[in-house]
Amino acid sequence: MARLGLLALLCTLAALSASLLAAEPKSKSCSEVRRLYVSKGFNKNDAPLYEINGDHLKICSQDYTCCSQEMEEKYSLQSKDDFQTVVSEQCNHLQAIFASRYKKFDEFFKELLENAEKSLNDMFVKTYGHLYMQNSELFKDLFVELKRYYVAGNVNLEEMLNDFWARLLERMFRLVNSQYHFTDEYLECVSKYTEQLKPFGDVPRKLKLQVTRAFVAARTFAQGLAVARDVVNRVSVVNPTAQCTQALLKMIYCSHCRGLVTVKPCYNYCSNIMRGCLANQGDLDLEWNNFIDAMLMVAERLEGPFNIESVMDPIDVKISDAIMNMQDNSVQVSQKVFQGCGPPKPLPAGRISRSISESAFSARFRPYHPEQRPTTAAGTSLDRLVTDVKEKLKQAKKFWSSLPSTVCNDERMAAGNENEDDCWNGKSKSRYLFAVTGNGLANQGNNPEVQVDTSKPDILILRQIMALRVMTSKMKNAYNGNDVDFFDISDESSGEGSGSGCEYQQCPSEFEYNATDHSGKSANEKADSAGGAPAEAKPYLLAALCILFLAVQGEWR
Amino acid sequence: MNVPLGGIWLWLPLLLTWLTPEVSSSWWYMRATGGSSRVMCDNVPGLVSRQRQLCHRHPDVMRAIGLGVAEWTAECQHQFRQHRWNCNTLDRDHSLFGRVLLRSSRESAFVYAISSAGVVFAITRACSQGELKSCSCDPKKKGSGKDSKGTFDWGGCSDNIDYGIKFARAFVDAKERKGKDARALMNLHNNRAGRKAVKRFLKQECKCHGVSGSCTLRTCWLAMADFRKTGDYLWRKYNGAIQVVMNQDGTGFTVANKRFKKPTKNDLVYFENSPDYCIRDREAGSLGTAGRVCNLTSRGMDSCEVMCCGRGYDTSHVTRMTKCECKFHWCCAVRCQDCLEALDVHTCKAPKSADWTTPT
Repeated sequence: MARLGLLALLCTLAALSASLLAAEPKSKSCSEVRRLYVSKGFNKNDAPLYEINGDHLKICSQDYTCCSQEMEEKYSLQSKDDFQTVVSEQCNHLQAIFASRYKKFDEFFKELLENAEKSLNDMFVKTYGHLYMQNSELFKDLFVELKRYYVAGNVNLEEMLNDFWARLLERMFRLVNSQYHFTDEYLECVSKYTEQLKPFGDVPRKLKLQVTRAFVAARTFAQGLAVARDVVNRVSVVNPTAQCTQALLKMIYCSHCRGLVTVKPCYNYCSNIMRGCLANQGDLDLEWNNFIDAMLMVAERLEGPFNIESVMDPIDVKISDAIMNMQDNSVQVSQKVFQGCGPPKPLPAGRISRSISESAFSARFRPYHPEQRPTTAAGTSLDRLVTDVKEKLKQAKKFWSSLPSTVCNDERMAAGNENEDDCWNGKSKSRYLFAVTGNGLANQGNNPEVQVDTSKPDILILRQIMALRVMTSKMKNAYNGNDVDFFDISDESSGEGSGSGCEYQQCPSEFEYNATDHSGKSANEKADSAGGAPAEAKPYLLAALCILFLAVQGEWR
Repeated sequence: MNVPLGGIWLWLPLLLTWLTPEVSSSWWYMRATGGSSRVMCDNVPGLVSRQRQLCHRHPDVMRAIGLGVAEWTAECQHQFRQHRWNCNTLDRDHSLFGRVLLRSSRESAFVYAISSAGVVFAITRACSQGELKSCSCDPKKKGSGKDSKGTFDWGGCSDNIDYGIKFARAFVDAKERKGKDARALMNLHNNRAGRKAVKRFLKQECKCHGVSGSCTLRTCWLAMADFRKTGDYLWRKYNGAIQVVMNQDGTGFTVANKRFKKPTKNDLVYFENSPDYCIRDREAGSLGTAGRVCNLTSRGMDSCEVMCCGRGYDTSHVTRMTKCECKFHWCCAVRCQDCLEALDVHTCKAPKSADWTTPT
């Protein structure tokens, strides 16, 4: 009986030994994959030492693999992170450019106005002395309104300037006819008569044209820079879809599962995945390029005929021209007014005011020579600012359509164009055989790498397209010297019924991105989490459509 | 003298057609489509593609040029008012000056120069008036300057004549640059002389700033003088125009008569001697002087002997109403009396040849 037991033990040992010998030649080492996995901060226990059966993998190949299930999950998150990082870097660079240029422009314009006001005050104190100081609030109000226009925009420049000249005329008329007392009714008659007499010459008309054009161009251009900054900022936050994430994992890390740790993805393979993952961003490109072109056109005007520096620097001299015209014409103007409005009442004898004569001052000191360009404390002149921005704008064209290529040019993402035959094509180290798809959502129906639902555009992207279109239209108006605030939702919605008005009332908030940015994001997240439920998506689609309609209306107006 | 036709858009195609006098312009058709600059630009005959491009891109400049046509044609008629050919525009012939411009004569030289100058003048003035969006006052005139009276600030609106010259050159010369023949070179030369002439009469104007006659601050600007000055200058150039021939390699001119000086950039040049303009000659574009008013007491070109080419003149006695004894009435009217004035008017006789009296 003891002999039988011994025999059984020997048989068992023999069988076990045979099994070990058979397994040894089939398994490849995963040590390099394991080392890289651990170097990314992951748990080394996740990584097998030798290739294992791949039945547990969901995305990567189920052949013999160096990846455990945990590894595949970790790599999926990592590939998404890698993608977001590279995209963010590209977008953040562009966003920083627009942010800094907007800040510079904003500082420049505000300081230009301050300097112009101070220059006028200095000149008029020397030239008109006491007469100016008694009436200086008139000129202060002018600059208050100009600044308010630049900051807030809800100033009718033409009306404001008409009002300025009317008030100036009233003051001067009193001064040149100081022996009379004028009632308000009489002064009203004076202003009606003098509309035809043009006591200030053609200065008011010319100045109105120049100020309107220059201010509209400057304000619109600054706003354009701010809009560009904001659009890039919003679009740079990319949330890949599940299909995109799968494709990214397959592209970046599935090669590791095959032990190919040094093989980079094929460039065209990367391009297709990026065009799929950035499909909505690609659709921005058309409107973005139109926007850039419009910015460049307004920049041309700012450098040339609508140069706000050329308008504001000499504004004191222009207004003084008008005052001197009135002074020269005052006898004829007064005679015609008295004839038309009737003789005014003389003041009581005891209160006749004496005209104040001022001693002559020397010519105004200028701190720079004619050849020297004036600069503000911001340290630049308008020409240099605009030239610099134009260069950046030209570089920003086609940013969104070239973003996939830019991302794939990053060595962390893909092999260069040189390694077309020896790169990772998603399955093996070989050549990538599919053609590269076009840019934009509509072209992704045939994308061989990323399954894209072309019927569901990204709401956030649609909003950015609308914002760009609105600004492009404003830019074209500014280029043509028009001050048309074409988007006035309150006028449009007043004609609507209460039912549809509810939807229209959402429209203004769509354009106020600062106020509703958070709710916009949360709405987008809800739409994603609900899997695009119609009830969730419909209000925003309708909002986008009505914005599009109004934008088109405004563009045609 | 024919009065130029009124209407804004009537003059734009007429202006453009002087570039191709052999092409008849259906300007009556242009008026019907005047509302759209796109249609207008595409339907003006004789425009080369570059001109059509500029027309589409700058409709406001085209309007300024069109409005300016009346001014330089009036200036031409003023300068030639005592000549047998009087720069008349023909109502029945829609190419503005008819076939006169086909001949490379000194009259053609003057017309090309004065029209080119007129375009510069019109654009520059519209620019200063703020009517054009693509230009503004001269941007170089800023800060302060100095002249014989001391320092001043640049103020007002200095005429941006460089813009006017640049645009006029691009537009008016566009057709000539397509040709390489002698006539094209002549036109380019005379166009340029006209443009430069306007710039000669840029003058500095100044104004004092301060209370009641003081001059605490002085501002100055550059302004074009009245177009008459340019017309007078080009008239002197017309009288001293230089007859030239093409040089051997076809790149420029040489004087036809070696005793004369070579032309400068400011001179007008021509190839062919002018006809005498005495009799109606359809081929030469000459209307003849039959029926023209002449001056019995003059010794110049408008004398009856010269104007009528020796054919004699008729005298008629006419009376006309004029204002006289005008007085100023306070304030502010001027009242005049109507007076009857009697005078003799002399007009040239028609040629006696039976052939010319037959209606054509």
